[in-house]
Amino acid sequence: MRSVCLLLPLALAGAFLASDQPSAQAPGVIMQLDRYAHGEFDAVVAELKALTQFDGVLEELRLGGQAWVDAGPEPERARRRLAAATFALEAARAAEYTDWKRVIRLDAWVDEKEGVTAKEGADRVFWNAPPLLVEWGCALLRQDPKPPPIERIWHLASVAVAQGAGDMEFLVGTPFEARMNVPDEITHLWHAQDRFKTEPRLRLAAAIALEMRTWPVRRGVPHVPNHSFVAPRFAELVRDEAVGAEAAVRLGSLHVRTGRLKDALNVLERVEAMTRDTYLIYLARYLKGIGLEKAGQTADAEAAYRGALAAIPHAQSATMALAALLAKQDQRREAGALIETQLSTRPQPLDPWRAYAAGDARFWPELIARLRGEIRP
Amino acid sequence: MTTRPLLAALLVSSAVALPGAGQALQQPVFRSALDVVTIDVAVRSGGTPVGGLTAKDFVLLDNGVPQTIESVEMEAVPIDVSILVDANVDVDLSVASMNRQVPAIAALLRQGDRLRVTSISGHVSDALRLQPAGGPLASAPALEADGMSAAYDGLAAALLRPVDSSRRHIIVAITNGIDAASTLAVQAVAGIARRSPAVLHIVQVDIARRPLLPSDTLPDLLWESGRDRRGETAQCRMRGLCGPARSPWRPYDQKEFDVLREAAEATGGALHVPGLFNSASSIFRKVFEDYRRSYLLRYTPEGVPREGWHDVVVTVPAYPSYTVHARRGYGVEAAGPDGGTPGASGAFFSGVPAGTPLHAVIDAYGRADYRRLEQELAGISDGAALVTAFREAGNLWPANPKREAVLVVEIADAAMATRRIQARDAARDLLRSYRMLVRHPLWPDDFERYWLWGVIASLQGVILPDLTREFADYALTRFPNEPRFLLAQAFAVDQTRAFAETSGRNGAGQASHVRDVTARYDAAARFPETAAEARVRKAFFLHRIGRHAEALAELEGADGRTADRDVTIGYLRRLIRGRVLEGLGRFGEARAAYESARSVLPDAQSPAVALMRLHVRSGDRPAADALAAAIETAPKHAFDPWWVYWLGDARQYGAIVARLREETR
Repeated sequence: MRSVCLLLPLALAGAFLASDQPSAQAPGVIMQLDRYAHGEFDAVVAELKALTQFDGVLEELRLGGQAWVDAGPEPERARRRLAAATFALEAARAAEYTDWKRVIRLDAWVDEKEGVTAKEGADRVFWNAPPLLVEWGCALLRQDPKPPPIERIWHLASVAVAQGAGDMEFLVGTPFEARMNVPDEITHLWHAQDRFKTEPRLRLAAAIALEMRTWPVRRGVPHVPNHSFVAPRFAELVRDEAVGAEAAVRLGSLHVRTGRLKDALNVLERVEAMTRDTYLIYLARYLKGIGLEKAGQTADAEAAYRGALAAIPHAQSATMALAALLAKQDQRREAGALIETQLSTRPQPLDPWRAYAAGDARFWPELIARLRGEIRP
Repeated sequence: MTTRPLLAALLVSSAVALPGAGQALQQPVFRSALDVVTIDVAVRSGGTPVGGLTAKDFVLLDNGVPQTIESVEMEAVPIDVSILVDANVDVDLSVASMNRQVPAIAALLRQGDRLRVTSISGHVSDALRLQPAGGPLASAPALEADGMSAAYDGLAAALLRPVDSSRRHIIVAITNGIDAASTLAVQAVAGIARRSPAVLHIVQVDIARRPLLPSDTLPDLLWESGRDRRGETAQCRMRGLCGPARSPWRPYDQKEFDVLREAAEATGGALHVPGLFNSASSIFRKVFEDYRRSYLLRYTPEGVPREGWHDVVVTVPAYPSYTVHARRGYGVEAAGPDGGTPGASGAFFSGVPAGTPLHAVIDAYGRADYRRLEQELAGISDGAALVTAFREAGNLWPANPKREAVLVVEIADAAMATRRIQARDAARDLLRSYRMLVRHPLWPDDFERYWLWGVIASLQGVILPDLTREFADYALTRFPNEPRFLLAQAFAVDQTRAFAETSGRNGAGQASHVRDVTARYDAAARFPETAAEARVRKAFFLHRIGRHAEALAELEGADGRTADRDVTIGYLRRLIRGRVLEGLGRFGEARAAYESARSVLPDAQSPAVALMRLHVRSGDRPAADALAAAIETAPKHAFDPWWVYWLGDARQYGAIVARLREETR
């Protein structure tokens, strides 16, 4: 769509759009891809991490990536396709902490054919290079009419990267805000689901993407918009053998933060019958503690926090919760000891609560190891 | 101003000296001369610290009861200084400058004082551990900006940290007060502050430069940190200029300066709002100098109950215009046993009563004393009760779920071995529920594979073909084409009619059953790991239903060298070949096959008995007698794999469990 924008600072729009232009920042991307496909994973990723802009990587892949895949002999092409798509994914992950998009508000937007199409107050989204890199890889893999099993791993890894970057709109679009350019939404998750229709982790990812749109919240504000929209997405997954436990944890979390304590405790109580995943056990116990404390059941809350710490000793969120609870009961000696031990623990253990928003990003090391194992010649 | 020996003041975390625990329990009222309370008091006149006051200038009420102030000190007591630096992205410039300013702050301290720097980002951590000040720092702080801020957790942690009884503790927190990730709400911090012996000062860093657009397109803009969403929206509307679409996820977005101010003032500290160009070290200098000029009042509470919360009010009646800042009270903890580090022991579900069979099992297992574990399990008489107790005990090792998973196999195996129906049912249910829990979140992994193999081997060991079949079928849904599971499935199908008549409606030779069994053995025979065993077992099946020629073809087809890699299979191949050849009436070749089996395991009984039978058949009584004598004189513990033919992979159970145990370490 060719468009002309009116009544807005053109210079600013130009600045935004400039990020879509080719950049000379990443010379030799195809050469890097070649090295990556030959197993030089760490060296290539280190180079990608040193980049500050990824437009050049995207542009070179768009220009030469397909040709690079096709340059290999026929039996090699599937591996080369996977290598190129995974290279793109690694580049996107290297850009995990950058903005994945710009959103700009335009007062009017004129389409040459359709005339003024803008709605008052609607935003226009401009995607930066990292999500487009993921989508480039995704399109490359989708060339294979029948997805091979390793593609499932690639899609799970792509979800991990997007969740780690915190861009849920990239995964599912936005059912919450009006967008002037809806067709430009990527909705990567729907592509993945198209390829793996029964994969429960992708369904869970969709629910998580919606969940993350219900935060941040102001503490003490009982009603969170969209609870009724998000909760059923988790509820329908709770019975799933593969992701039911995590769906239950997240449903419980949603209930806790919206003040539905009884519902929260009911669902969190079920988690340990569904999984022994330490990460989820910790979250279930920790959130149970929060819920119980809110409900005034101090002794049970204390036991729940201790239970969380039995799952992941010295994790900070439960340590803090337990220490504060003890301090409130004038048990400062133990509270102080807990804090001191926690702060002196090296290395600090992963705190699932602090990683909660990043969803499957915790699986990245395993996922990328699998992909690299498949790519390694 | 007088000072008393500090050693006499055995201050606890609540800044109250306690006698021994027993004495405390017997004497709920402050009576000992050693029960000393210390209170930091800052007195100002128009913002300027007032010096020169003595004990008689102060009036101190403890829970409303006037107390006698025993000493007033100003600068003699060494100080621990905790600097908290909020390293979230909004204050990243402050972080950079703090890395430079910490050494300057350290230089302000005196010999005997100590300093630590704690970083607040998505989590709280010590960037500089507590170390002596008054000279060059042993190491530089390692502050790094991060996406989020657990500011309230950081403040609470600093306030809760134990302080050496002979020292004062001042906390200077440099933060924009925006909390995005804390476990604790600001009200909890205020509650902790009210009961903390430390003095808290909060320096509010409120402005940060934050690039909105790529730095090469527009100059950086000034953004108010922790920006208000409404303001952002307005700016977006007015200027078409919207902020970065991705900001770090934050579970909370809270800015409660009033509560933070109240928290700081409750400790005798304050909230400071600096100008744009005030450096952290200049603010710290002022705070610290003021603190140095504050008073430390000591008194022994009288006339008030010892334990619990004590409200403290300090005034300077002779000078009503002075402002007095002091913490508002202190708490005295009920005496109790010293705890270690609760929550770290993993003892959350350790409510298994001592003296019970389960306790003995868990104890041995927990110590990795597997010999004792096996003894305990072998001695179990009520397997159902053991399984029930185990399930009721809950998740015993939440930090190491593999540990529980392996014990599940061992306990179920022991319960199955009791051969009681209730025990078997209980074990079966345990295994059925646990096979879901042993799954890796993403894909079937090696641990699950071995775990399922261990279960199948255990079930084969008690000859439960239907249950074995169920688990083999399940295992194949998780690991399609896993050779051992294919073989286990074939063997279980074979076993279901192993002892039936050859012919008849449900006979072992019934056509559909034969097709089923042979097809499944053939599926297992496609893999080198299981080819030899699958062919040997298929041959024995065909032999049992009278199809000796086909049986012989299977055995001839089995690669002898591969079969001989496993002594058991090599031996069985020879033994069964003898039986098949007998069935074909080829007795001379059968004799050779039995002799061959004896060459593999000379003390095994089955080939000797078979040979004896052949000798009798051919009328060679002396040879038969010689073999009978050899059988009678064979070593007592001579093992014959034929005896465990129907136990399938049970022969591997020990090795499988040993490997699983290794994974739990």
